[in-house]
Amino acid sequence: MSTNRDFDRIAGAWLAEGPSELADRVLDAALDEVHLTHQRRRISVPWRYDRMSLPIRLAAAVVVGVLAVSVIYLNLPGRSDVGGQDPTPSPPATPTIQPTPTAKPTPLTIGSLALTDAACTVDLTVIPVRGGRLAIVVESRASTFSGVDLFKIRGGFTFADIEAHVDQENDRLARGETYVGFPAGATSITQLSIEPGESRLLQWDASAGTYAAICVRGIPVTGNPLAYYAVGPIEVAP
Amino acid sequence: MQVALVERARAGDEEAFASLARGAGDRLLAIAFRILRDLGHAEDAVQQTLVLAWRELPGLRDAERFDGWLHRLLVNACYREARRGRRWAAVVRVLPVDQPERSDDYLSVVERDQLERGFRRLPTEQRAVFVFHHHLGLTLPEIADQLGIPLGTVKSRLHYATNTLRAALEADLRSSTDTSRERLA
Repeated sequence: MSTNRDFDRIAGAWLAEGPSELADRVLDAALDEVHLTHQRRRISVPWRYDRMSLPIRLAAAVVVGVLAVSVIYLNLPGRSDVGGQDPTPSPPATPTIQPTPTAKPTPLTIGSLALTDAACTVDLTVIPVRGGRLAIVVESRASTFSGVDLFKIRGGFTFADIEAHVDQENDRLARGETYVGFPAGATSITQLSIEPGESRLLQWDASAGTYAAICVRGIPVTGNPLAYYAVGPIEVAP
Repeated sequence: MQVALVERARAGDEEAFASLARGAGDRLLAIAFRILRDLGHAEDAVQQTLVLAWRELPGLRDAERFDGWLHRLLVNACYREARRGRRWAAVVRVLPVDQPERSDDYLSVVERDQLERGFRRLPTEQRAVFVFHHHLGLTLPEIADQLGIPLGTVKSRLHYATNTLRAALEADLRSSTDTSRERLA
């Protein structure tokens, strides 16, 4: 390669290759999750705050605190008649944007999965679970970046096989060895990553069968995670 | 038009946000794929970005900076996805990439291969700067602004990425020349 220009042309041509259209299913999944996600409202501090003297700042902070507690109290469940603002936005008077023709129905939330530094547990609120677009609310109370992998267990294998695989992986981690990878008797369905304190939606198109989740706690930039947890089984009826 | 949609979405209008997401989706996927070199991870990064954008949109002060802000969220999502890819690294497959459009015959198969290998050796931070510069065509100050990093950092990352990829290509050139010489001998 003789010149920078050659390199730029080669790099540009190479980067021009590859997919450039987002699949509808990805957009639909994102918008489904958006529908279930509240926007984070910001309370802005007036710029004059910086110029206030300390006693006035303290007084202002107390006033703001009292107001905040009042607002929380007025929005408690059972007090909805007192005028709490619904965080769900109302649709515009004249809808001008058509929904995508391929839009999927909102997934049925079947339970929640909680990840902490010590465990990963799932609580199903819908039993029996029937096939269709399903979702589980994943909440991370762990102190590290983590993830959840959802698997469908293949015929001839059981949830006990997944647990055995996870036990084996944790033993390898304890010995400082490299992990094996996905369990042999299961097919990877979907995954998500989650930061500490975050809440996300794990959603997938479920068919009849047995599913299991594997929580992966503490995913480092390099090296092994801190721990794996097998969660389930989640039985889905036809 | 877009500014109006951003304002509406910022006020909680989901349909306005859906319109913005549809408008930005293809571009976000193209960027994420080029940084991560994996379609599944790229799709996940885009999905995370869109959800996060919706959640954090009320905090965006200047609606005209929506695109740059979205790019920054996307790059952060790519960093997360790159980390996620390591948790099951033993079994991560390099998926065959759908390549509906080959840009031209300018690139040989060997050059593509060398670039791919060289690029995969780059840290995600360097990849992002390289993609923003060579694929999006942004200037270095624009990249610094969009990614929220100092200009010097952008220059340094681009310098290292370029050197790595040039070295990969030049190594290939040398090995071709050596092979030709052996043939002549």
